[in-house]
Amino acid sequence: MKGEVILVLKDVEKKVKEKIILDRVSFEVKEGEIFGLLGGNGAGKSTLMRLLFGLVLPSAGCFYIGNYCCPPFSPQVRTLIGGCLDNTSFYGNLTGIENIILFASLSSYYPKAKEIEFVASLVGLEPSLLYKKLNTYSQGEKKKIALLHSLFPLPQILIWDEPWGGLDPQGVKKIQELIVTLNTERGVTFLLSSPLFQEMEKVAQRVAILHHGEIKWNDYLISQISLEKIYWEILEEK
Amino acid sequence: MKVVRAEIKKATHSPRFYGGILVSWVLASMVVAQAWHNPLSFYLERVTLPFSLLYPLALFGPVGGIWGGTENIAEERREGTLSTALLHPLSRWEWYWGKVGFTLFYNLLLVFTPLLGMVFLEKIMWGGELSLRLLGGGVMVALYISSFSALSYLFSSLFYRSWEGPLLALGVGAFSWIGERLGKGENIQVYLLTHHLSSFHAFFLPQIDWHQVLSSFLVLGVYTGGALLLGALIFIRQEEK
Repeated sequence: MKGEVILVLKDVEKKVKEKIILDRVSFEVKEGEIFGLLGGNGAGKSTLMRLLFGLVLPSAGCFYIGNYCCPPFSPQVRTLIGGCLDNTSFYGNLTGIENIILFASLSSYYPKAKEIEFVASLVGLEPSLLYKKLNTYSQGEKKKIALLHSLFPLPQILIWDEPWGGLDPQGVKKIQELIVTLNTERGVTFLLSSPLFQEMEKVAQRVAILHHGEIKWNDYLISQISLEKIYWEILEEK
Repeated sequence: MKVVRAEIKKATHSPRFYGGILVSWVLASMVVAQAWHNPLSFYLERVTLPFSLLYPLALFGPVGGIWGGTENIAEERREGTLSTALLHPLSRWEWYWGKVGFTLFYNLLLVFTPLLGMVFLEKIMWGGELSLRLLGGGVMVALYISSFSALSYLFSSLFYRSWEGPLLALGVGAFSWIGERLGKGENIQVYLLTHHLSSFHAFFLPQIDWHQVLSSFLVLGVYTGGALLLGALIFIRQEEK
């Protein structure tokens, strides 16, 4: 049901060789919400995203996706979430469309070419480009393929790590429009991460600021709040 | 099965996939040409036919088998495509066994596509007397190649660098080969991997040596199954950087 909590992190900690990457991170994301995770380089955003996909395991704490406690990741949990990482990689010797069909088949989903072409135009990707080998793509085009591939099949929760990283202004705008469309029309819950507050405040309804592995601020974006001021204050903290 | 299907789809775009099959076919064609040129020698020395094809396959096939494990674990991990696959509703366990399934299928393809051609040729030339023995020998060669694939899976799961898996798998082969030459007594030698390189020969003796077939099957089976299972247990506990 819309508005119910769908993702909960409870005191999640991640240590790598005694270095604390995530320090007792806790927050909640409600169903149908666009939740933004802001943070500078090395804040721990990507580790947190990888953790939610089960690519790395927490050193302490746990999180809930839907009603399922993770880890371990049950097959039901895996069907609820989807997304892409900052550096999502594909097979360079396959075309864009072949990559999308191949990875979608791992979710037992077999999209038609027309369907992929249509959604590609929504992320600002020329449909003809889908038929070129991926190793000929630019960085921005690869990013769009990464975002596009996460939409087949469309999950309930989309986790996008730096969705506009490497995109031109037109690309950023297209992605922001797509986020809002999927959220309002299809009820998709978003968890986005970015170091750029200007882009985040255009789409996110609620933002948490992660700094040196700790959540320093977490609130809804309302007109009285200057995200820029808060963000700068936190970033300049030692 | 979805991983195996995806892997087959991916392989059909890979020149290396066709390259391996092509090499085994070229080998078979050379044997056919030789048999055609001098059928009498093949008839008189029955052992020539299996040796001409099966021995080179057993000798060089492990290189292809090792490539399977390296390509599917170490390379995918290095390229980041493993992480991309795991963003989908797929467990590490499913992914690993899917890749293994495809590698074993490829090993069978590598051995049996030229071998079936050979069986056909043998049937035309000598009435199919050796057909079942040839197929039995093929099973042993495929298992021998698969044991190297399994070692490559194990070492590629254990170590993150892409050259470590194939190097260590080849190292086990080399160690076994040296050990076989240095060692004394069949009790130890039978457990060495390369000891079973020509295990297919047991099928071409006047009376099939079932004892040797069974012992090779068991040793190679333990190597293959043990290394794959151990590799899987290591792999599912690992994290992606």
